[in-house]
Amino acid sequence: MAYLTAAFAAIWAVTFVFVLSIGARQRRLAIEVEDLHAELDKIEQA
Amino acid sequence: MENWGTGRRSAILYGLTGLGMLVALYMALGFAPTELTMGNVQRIFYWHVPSAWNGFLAFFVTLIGGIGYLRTGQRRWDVLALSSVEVGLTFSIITAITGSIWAKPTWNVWWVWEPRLTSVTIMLIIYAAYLLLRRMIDDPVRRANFAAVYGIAGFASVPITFMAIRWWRTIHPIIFQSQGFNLTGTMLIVFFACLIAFTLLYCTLLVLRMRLEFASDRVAELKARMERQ
Repeated sequence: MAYLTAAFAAIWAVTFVFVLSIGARQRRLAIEVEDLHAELDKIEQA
Repeated sequence: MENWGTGRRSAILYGLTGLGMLVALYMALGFAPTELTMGNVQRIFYWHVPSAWNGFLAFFVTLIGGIGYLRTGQRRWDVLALSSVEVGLTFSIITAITGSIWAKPTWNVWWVWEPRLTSVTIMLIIYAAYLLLRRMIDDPVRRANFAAVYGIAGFASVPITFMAIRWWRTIHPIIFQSQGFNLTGTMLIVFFACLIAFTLLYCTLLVLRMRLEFASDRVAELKARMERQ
C-alpha cells in the first residue's frame, strides 16, 4: 500500500508543480501586460 | 488569441477533466480487482500506462505541430508543438517515477538498464534538449523552423520506445499484443476509464500551456509597439 500511495503522490506532485509553474508565469505575464498598457497610454497621452 | 483557453468550451474541458480524474481514482483504487500475484501494487498500472500513453500522444502532437509549421509558417503550430513537448515531458517523468516505484516491489530494484527504461531515458533527453536548444536561438523564425525539424526527427524515439519490449529481451511486461490484451474484463474497463481521464488531463494541460505562450506573444507584441513609439 505504501508503494501505491507513493505513486499516487508522485503523479499529483509532478502535475501540481507543472500547473503551479504555468499559473505563476501566467500571473507574471498578466502584470507585465497591464504595465505595458499603462505605459503605452501614458506615451499616447503625452 | 488574447482570450484563448478561457471560453465556455475550455471550462467544459476543465470540468470533465476533474470529473474524469475522480472517476479514474475511484475505479483504480476501489473498482478494479486485486491482482493475484502482485496484489494492490499492480493498481499503479492504471496510472502508469495512461501517463506513458500521454507522453507518446504529446510527442505525436509535436510532430503534427512541426509539420503544420513547416507547411504554413503559422505561429500557432509552433505554440502547439512547444506546449505539447512540455506536457509530454511532464507525463514521461510521471511514467518513469511510477514505473520505478512499481519496479521496487516486483523486480526488487528501483531501476534497471533494460531496453524499455533505457529507450525512455533517451526519449526524455531528446525532448529535454528540444526545450534547451530552443532557448539558444534568438531569431523567432529560425527558432520555430529548427524546433519543427527537431520535433519531427525526435519523434523517431517514440516508436522505438514503444517497440523496445517487443524487439529485445526484457523483464518489462507486455500488456498489448497482436493477439489482444493481457487483462481481464473488469481490468480492461478500469484501464480504458483511466486512459480517457488521463487523455482529458493532457488536453487541459495543453490548453493551459498554449494559453501561456499566447500571453507571452502578447507581451512581446506590446514591447515591440513601445519601441516603435
